[in-house]
Amino acid sequence: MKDQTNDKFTQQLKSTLDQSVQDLSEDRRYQLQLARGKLLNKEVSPWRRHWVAGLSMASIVAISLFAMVFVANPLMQTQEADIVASIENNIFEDDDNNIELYEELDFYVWLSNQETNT
Amino acid sequence: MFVEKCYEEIALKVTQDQRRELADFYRQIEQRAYRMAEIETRNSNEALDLVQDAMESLMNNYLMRPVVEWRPLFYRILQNKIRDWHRRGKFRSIFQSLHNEETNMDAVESHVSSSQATPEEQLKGDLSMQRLQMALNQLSVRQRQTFLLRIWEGFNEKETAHIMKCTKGSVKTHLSRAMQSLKTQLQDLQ
Repeated sequence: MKDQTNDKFTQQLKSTLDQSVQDLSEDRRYQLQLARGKLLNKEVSPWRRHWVAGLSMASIVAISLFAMVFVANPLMQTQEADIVASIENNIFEDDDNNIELYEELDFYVWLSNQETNT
Repeated sequence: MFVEKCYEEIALKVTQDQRRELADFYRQIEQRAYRMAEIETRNSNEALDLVQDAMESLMNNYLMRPVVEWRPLFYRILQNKIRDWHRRGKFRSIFQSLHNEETNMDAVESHVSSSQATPEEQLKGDLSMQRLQMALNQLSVRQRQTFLLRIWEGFNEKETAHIMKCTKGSVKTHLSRAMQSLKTQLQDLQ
């Protein structure tokens, strides 16, 4: 395919466009310069400057809250302990048959195997 | 606060060095970018606003990117802003066209006649910017963008496709159609 970016016609188009940049008025050049200067002297927006610090602070607060609520709260620990104790009670105290089952588990397994074989 | 202070110190150093580089970069491209926006909008104030917006966007969002990436990034931002401007313009033009049908017809006639070469231009074999602008106005926005990026700015197909958010194949098609149209309109120059 013919290269469209380098023939004589294209060069002429390019040079016309280049010339149009050279022909920009002084006023327009000054306005561009002014816009650039203003932009580069502008403060970085406070949000952008502080977002990392803000994010770190938010993380610290979140972790602290988590620690306070789920780890360091003695009331919750007591409640958890109560729940465990009540489960243990259910197994070992309320139902004596359960203990018997655990103690003679081998015997019941053997019995079940015998039954299936016959 | 300690974290904030450290961050500010780092940011200040980074921005001071990079802003200097950014100032050089803008100095190199601002006039061409402005002309590109002016060709698209045909309005000097709108063009200035678009270039300023693109500059600001690059500075706020891509300052940390390597300097070599700034030029394609800047043109990508600028092209997006130009496309948005055209979209808004379509909405405006619906209302304008309802009220100014006669005026528009006059504009089209003067438009066609001014894309012809003046006798002086024909003698010199010269191409005035006004005439080129008229020829470029006949292209679609995508064709004009492709022409300006590929031919004038010298971006390769891959870079142009990235800037315009399209495929290399589309870039080829747009450029081919743009060149065909320009050659037809400016055939006395060949």
